[in-house]
Amino acid sequence: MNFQLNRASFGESLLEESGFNPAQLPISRAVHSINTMPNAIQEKMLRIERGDYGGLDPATAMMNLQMEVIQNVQRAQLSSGVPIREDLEAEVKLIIPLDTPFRNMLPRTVGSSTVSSWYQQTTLGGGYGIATTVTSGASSATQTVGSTAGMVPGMSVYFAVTNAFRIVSSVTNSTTVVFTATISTTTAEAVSAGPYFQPGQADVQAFFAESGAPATVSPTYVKKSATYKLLGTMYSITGLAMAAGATFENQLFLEKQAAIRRLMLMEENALINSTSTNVLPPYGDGTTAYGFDGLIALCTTANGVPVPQVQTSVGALTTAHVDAQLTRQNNQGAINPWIMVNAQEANSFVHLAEASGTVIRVMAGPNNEAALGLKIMEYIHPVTGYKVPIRTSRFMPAGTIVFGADQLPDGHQAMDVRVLPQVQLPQLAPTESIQGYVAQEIAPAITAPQVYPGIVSVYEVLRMKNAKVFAKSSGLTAV
Amino acid sequence: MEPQVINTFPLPAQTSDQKANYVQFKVERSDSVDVPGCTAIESLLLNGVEIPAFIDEKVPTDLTLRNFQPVRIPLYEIQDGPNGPMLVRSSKSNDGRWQVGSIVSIKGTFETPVTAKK
Repeated sequence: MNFQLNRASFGESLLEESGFNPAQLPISRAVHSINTMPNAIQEKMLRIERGDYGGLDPATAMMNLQMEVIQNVQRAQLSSGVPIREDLEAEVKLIIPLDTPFRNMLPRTVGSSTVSSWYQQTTLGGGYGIATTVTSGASSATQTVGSTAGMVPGMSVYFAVTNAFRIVSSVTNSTTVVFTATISTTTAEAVSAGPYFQPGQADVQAFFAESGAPATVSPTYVKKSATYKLLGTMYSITGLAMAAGATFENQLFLEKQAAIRRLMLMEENALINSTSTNVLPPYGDGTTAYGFDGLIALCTTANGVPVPQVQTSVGALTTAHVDAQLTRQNNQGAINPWIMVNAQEANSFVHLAEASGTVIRVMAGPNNEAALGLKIMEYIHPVTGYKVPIRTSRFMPAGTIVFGADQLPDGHQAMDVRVLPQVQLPQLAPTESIQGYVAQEIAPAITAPQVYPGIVSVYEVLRMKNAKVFAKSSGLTAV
Repeated sequence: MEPQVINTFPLPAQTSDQKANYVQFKVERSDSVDVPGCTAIESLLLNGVEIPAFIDEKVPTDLTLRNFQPVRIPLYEIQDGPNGPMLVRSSKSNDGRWQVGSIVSIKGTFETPVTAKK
């Protein structure tokens, strides 16, 4: 027997996270279903039913078939002897719901272990800009800071806590700077160049002499980690429904597919709205929180989103506001930005475009037929001129817009879904986007032996790789 | 079976700010709103939606994202303007800009009776 269980271990792994290699998990599949047998075995069984033994005598042919089936069953069994998980990778890849735009746009990478660890980028290293703090908070045009390195008259300096910027009038000495207007600062608040400036790590030497060297700077990352969260939905099918459906529609298949679609919608909701502290369903059981932090929970100043990029009680949506948010994102180096909205804001965009004074007109056809209305698909970036896609998810809360980006300044993905596989992956899967959905059938209860329940589940966590390229506006009202 | 009546409000319901004796001001410029005689604000609505007086946030004090400082940021305040008290907005709320044409409703203390500008 060649079957060998590859146990979870803390040995070497080709993957970036420690622990077992998910690509080496034992195969598991529902052996009781003929549909899960390899095609070769199914074809051989059909041939034998027709009396075609492939040129062998019937006894040998039957023996060969038995061997193949047994080998397949052995591959499908775990140490407990019970096949438990049905891989839904192919099914889920074929189902592409249109109403889960956020889920659809995120890369799904392969994880391992129980915790996903990653580095959240805060700067690329700089070599320009300002990085200091206020030594002693004061309400004055003259401020004392840790270092005035990098400050020159005319440049704007941003105060993170006060959330305001001032123009440098003059630099008195290495710790004292005079601004063109009074500002009320707080002791120890961070000071950087800005706001229309990509923050650098520090103002260090970049030009250097023939026999010298530039200063050493390095990118700054914050180590983040989050445990994988279990997300799932239950389904059940009665024996009668299966039997009745056998003559016209596979009810078990339909029920399972509905559970997959349901889980996708639940996942879209979680990826946007979940928080790791909410104990109420669907994120917890009323006592314990089981969810991960979703997009909105991650778009906070506590997660590193710059203070001005989290706007509250905005009121009526205006293009000026959208321009301001996209500009701030651009200052942070966001690449391929996008806008995620609810239907209310999608309508507001339309109404802004159709408002009196705009140049949009209804065009009539040759027979005077015309289509009234618009769908705003994109927004022209006020700085780059690129088209920023507007993605509408009905799971976004009304009154909230999230401004995100596909990539970071260094080209890395800004966000992904880290999926912990529950079954063996194809050989190349660690480099591919995976869905990670599995179905598991559950033994019927003794009180309802004809009800066959099951669960469709996925283990995952949402990871933000750089909070600075994100922005959030809340409290928007319909226009 | 009796038909079910589903619409018992043929006319638009009175908005909460109209009921609660708020004084209303129409925004005429984006940087501030003149609020004659206003000395204190108990509640403020922008187009019928309340703007809280402040929000609490945690802001990082360095690049490690491990050290934070809680900050209470006021979202609006009354300042002395050239025409008397004027309402200004925090840069955390629509970048400090009032949407021209919108209605600001204030429940608070006024030195003298005011006539709302419509």
